Amino acid sequence: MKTLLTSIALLFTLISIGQTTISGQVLDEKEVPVLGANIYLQGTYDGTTTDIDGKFSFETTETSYATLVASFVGYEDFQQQALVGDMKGLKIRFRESVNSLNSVILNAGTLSAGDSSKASALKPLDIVTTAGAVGDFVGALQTLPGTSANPDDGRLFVRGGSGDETQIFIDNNRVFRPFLPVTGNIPTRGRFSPFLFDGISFSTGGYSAEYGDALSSVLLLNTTDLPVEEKTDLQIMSVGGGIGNTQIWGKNSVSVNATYYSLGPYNDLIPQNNQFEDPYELVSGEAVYRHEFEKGLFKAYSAYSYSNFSIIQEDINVEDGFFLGLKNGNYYGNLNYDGRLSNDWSIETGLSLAHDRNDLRVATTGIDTRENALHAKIKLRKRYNNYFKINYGVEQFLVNYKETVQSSDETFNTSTSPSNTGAFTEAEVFVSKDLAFKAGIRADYYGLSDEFLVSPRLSAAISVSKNWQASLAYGQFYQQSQNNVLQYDEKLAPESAEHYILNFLFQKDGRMLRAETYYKNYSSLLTYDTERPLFDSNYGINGDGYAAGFDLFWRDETSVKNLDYWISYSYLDTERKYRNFETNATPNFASKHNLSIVGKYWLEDWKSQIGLTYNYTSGRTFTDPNQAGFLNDKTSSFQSLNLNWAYLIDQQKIVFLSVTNVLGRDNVFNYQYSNTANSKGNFDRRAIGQAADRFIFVGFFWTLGGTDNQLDNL
Amino acid sequence: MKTISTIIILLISISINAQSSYEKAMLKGMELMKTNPLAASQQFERVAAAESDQWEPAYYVAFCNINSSFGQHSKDKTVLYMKKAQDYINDAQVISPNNPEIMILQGRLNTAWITYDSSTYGMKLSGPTTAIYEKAQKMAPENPRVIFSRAEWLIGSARFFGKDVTPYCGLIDKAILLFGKEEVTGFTPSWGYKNAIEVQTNLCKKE
Repeated sequence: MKTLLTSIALLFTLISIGQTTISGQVLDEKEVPVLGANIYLQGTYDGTTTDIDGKFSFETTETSYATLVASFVGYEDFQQQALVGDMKGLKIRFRESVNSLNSVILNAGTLSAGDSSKASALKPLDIVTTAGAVGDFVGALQTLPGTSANPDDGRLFVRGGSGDETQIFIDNNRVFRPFLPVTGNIPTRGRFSPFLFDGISFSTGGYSAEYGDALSSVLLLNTTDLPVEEKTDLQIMSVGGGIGNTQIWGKNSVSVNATYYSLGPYNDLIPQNNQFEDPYELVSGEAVYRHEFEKGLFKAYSAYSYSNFSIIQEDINVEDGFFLGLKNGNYYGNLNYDGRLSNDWSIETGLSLAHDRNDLRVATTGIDTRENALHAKIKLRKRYNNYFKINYGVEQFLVNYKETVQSSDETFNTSTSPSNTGAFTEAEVFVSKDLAFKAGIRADYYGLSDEFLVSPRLSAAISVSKNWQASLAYGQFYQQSQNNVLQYDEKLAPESAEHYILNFLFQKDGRMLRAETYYKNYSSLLTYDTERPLFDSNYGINGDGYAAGFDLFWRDETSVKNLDYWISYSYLDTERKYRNFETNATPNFASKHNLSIVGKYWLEDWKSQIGLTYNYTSGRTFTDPNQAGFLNDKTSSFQSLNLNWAYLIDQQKIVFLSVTNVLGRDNVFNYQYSNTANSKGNFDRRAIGQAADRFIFVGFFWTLGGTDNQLDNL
Repeated sequence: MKTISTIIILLISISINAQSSYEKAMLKGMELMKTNPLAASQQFERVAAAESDQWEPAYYVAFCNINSSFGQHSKDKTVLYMKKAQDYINDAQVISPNNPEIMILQGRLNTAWITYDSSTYGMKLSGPTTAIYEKAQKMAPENPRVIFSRAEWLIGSARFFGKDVTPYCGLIDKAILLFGKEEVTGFTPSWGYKNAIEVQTNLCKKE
């Protein structure tokens, strides 16, 4: 009993013991006093705010050891453990915190859309509101610098690279067949709904060691993390319709959507340059399931699409043309888990599976391909502090590709199973908020060719002045040949490219100027000696080439009220000797000058956004057999003026009208020459132009909130 | 027996003592809110750091920082305030999940983001914000702050689309009525009356 009393007495003495004063001063890196910093003893209420001289003083009843914490928005937290009695006349030096807003960004080569970075060239909405993009997630990217517009193809052609040299990733998992297959000069589009993604990062070179097997470019798409609203979306379009629904329960959510396109009725109304037998039809569906764990997020994404069309393909050598039909079925799914393992470690795992079946009929020949593909990946990330982070990862790609060619009397079966094992590590170091480095290395083993290849990647960024920064990037990149070639020669080693990039970025008050210059060196490019890759061609990797140029991008959202516009210009000088090229030449898909002007004007009174896009692409090369030489002539320039109008009826309803190539300019992309000379000894030609002079799209989009229906209130 | 009761009494008095120092610290924060929001935020931060099972301190840190996010500071700073507010909303939500008071704070923070950059956040956050208010409304239909914040949001949307706002003025009136009846206990949020009067005078005044 006595002991208890004593200890209680002791306790009281402790409580009533005299107060200690803690005092000091807070300065920043430049010795300037910090006003308004929060100073306190951890675990107590004792603390204060610094005054105009950065000075502080407060009393505490704590004794012995305590932890003093000093914090302020924009600075790293400061902590110091000491005897309370010794905390007098403290000098606290704050270090400015490094965050995405005030620090340099390692952005050489990269253009991002989204709010994650201050250097976003595009905003998420631009993907759907850019005139001419017509809801294709790749469409808006075609207006960015570094791309060569190929409106007859629709894929991304980056800095002298072919469409095959860009790889697309969804939540960091490779998408194996991202584009709907087309032919007959109908531009393709991405398979995926642009509304699913809330972050897009498009790299035109010098990208991270995390991404391999891509020679020129990577496009990274991130699906929305967690929907917070149950809703139903309806789309009624001049070319079809769609429906989407989101359900949320507890920590789970599911979003599904289905779309049906048919160009049949449209083709009846508006003349097409192609002679359709079966009009273009597309059925697609997507589903995303998300589950939130205490420390992470699981996502499962699945998409299926089926497309079908057939045309009578014009051909200069076949009088009435020939039948060309294409059916494609594609499944793509990925499973993803992102989570924290501890305070400093986080993990990202992904598994993607794809199945693609393509049935092509050319006149009487059938070419059927089947592809199964898998990508598995694990990435660990350790964050030491805001200044130093490291990634480690391994990944595996497995593909099985089969092709059956069936002509009237014969059947050829070929197949190939390429594989690629990759491992990478990359460190990100911020020396200060004005200087940052990223250094990575990637090792790849290609199963078929038994090649082990190492690719270093480096980038650096330095702040030149308040609004200017400069950045550099270097990288070595490899990519294996396409499956339709590998099936004939499996030993072909991957093609290779080196990128050197120098970037200047200016940003001030909603204005952004980005200037970038680059040099790209290609080697070990695929070569063969026939018109097309055939089973008896002689294949090699004896090709090489280069691409050099510069890009300019200017975006201004503030100078004129309600007007947001960007101008992008790319200069490209490229030549290569690859495939069946006779000499070094500029390929048909690479144009010297590319200019895009995009403007969006918000008409307050009309609740409308008017958009305009003008594209100019200088002439593309083709071979004129009436003259000597290879790729010896150029088409006239490509020009297109696109307009759109989005009218917000209310929060839930939008009407969208878009016209591509308003002026109906007759653009020519290439020429096909006759195999035989005419009576005058000349080779006749046929212009390969647009699928249609104009494309008109009208859509009505209606969102029905799943919660208390807003429409009742409006 | 005597010993035990002494200990119990002692323990109770100690805990009362501890309770009151929490109250004192919170009261100091509430006082500071009237004059110096920055100091108030910091006072609540200190309390939040010391009391990991009370949601109110984190709530008030978020509240103060949201109030600093409507254009009084430079753009860079504003983002930092909004991020800080989000961190503390997350903390408060962990301690007290599904709390309508915290939910409407999230709604207000979303509004701050939309005000900050409507072309980036307008479409992205307007749906979620509506959903938050509807959920809060279902859970606490008689909470004046819920009614007021939701009505304010609906008025904002209606104004953006050039629609009549009068249908929502009834909600503001109802909120004001309920504000008058509200009994404030402890440190649960009690703000909103003045704001509601302001909205009523500026936007709902009948000619």
